[in-house]
Amino acid sequence: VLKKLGSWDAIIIVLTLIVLVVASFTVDNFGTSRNFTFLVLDLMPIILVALPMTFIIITGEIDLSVASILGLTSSLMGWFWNHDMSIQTIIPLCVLIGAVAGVLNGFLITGLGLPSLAVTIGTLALYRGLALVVLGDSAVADFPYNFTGWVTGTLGDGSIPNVLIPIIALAVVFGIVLHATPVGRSLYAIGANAQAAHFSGIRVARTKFWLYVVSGAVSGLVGVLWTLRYSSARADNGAGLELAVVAAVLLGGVSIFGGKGSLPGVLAGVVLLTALQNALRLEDVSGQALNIVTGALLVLSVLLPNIVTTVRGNWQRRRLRQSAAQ
Amino acid sequence: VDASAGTGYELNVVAAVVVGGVAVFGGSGTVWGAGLGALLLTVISSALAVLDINQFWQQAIVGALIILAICADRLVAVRIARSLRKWDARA
Repeated sequence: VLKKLGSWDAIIIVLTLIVLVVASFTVDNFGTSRNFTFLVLDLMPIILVALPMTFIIITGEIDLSVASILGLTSSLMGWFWNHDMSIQTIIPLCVLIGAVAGVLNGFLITGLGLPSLAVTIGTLALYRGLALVVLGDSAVADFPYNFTGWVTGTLGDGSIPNVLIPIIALAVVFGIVLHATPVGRSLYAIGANAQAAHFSGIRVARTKFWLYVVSGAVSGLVGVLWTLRYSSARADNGAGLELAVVAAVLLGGVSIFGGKGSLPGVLAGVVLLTALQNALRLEDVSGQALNIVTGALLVLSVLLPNIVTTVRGNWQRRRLRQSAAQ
Repeated sequence: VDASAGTGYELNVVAAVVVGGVAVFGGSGTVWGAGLGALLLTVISSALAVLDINQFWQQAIVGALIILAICADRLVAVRIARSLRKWDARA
């Protein structure tokens, strides 16, 4: 139990709770139900995209094209709406298009065996470019109010935002798959040693392929939610979001080299980053200074676990030497 | 001059280097190749402008080029590996 408490994701969960408690006491308006709604709305895109991203990084790969898939589906949503399609067809269609974008990523990476970093940098440019081709620099804003209002609204008259329902539902599904099914175990095996996983009978390529499809579909869904939240379909929606997502996942204790990490840690990482930004913004800290905080947290999250393991290793070695001397 | 100068350049730089034949995972590539890649991308985007092609297509074309370059790189690597294996079997 003590070992579990000392792990990075446990530290990050505790740190997140501390930040939440301290902020709600010291920062004016942080603990209000109105701010809670804004916090959840800010959280929504990062947390949803972070779920499949966690799976992908645990297998030792990466997907940098998520924000561009978001932009592409947002653009297409505006284009479809301008061409008189009903919103009920547009939404599933956009999720499907996101999945198709993921199929291309997955095919290039697992079918042709190309490095995922290079491929998704390529599709990052490609999908964002296609988003620009679809909508140019114009915006579509006249989406029906009962849909945009649902995304920004709360349950009944309470303070629980509607978007918390899909967030919790998806987080639970992803958490169960990762931590309580053979599929989840196989992801860790692939990340720890892809070759050994292959010889143990895990279908490495097929698993990775489906991860990219799921990642694309979730990004498409977030594209829809993003568009409805700001009731504005634009080609540059969500630009740069991939970095925030990767930062949150790494902060949550997932190793960039694969094989390590847990979903609760990632959820805490996302909440920590967003809550910190939210609290600092309430304290009138400028946007540029917020970037410094995000960057510093990312560097720390990579640095600290390394320092901890080195110190622990040195300590153990010294103890062994002492017991050998006796 | 302002602090946001060069925002988004990382994408162009990595694109140029990858198109120029430097392997992303290290181990192969030349500085000349990366320079030629940068030249190629710049020539293509100014050619697109001269040919009066919609400016919105440019980023999509850059993305497609990156993917093509990685595919070509992979193809060459596979062919080299195959010919080496053939040579090995003969010896």
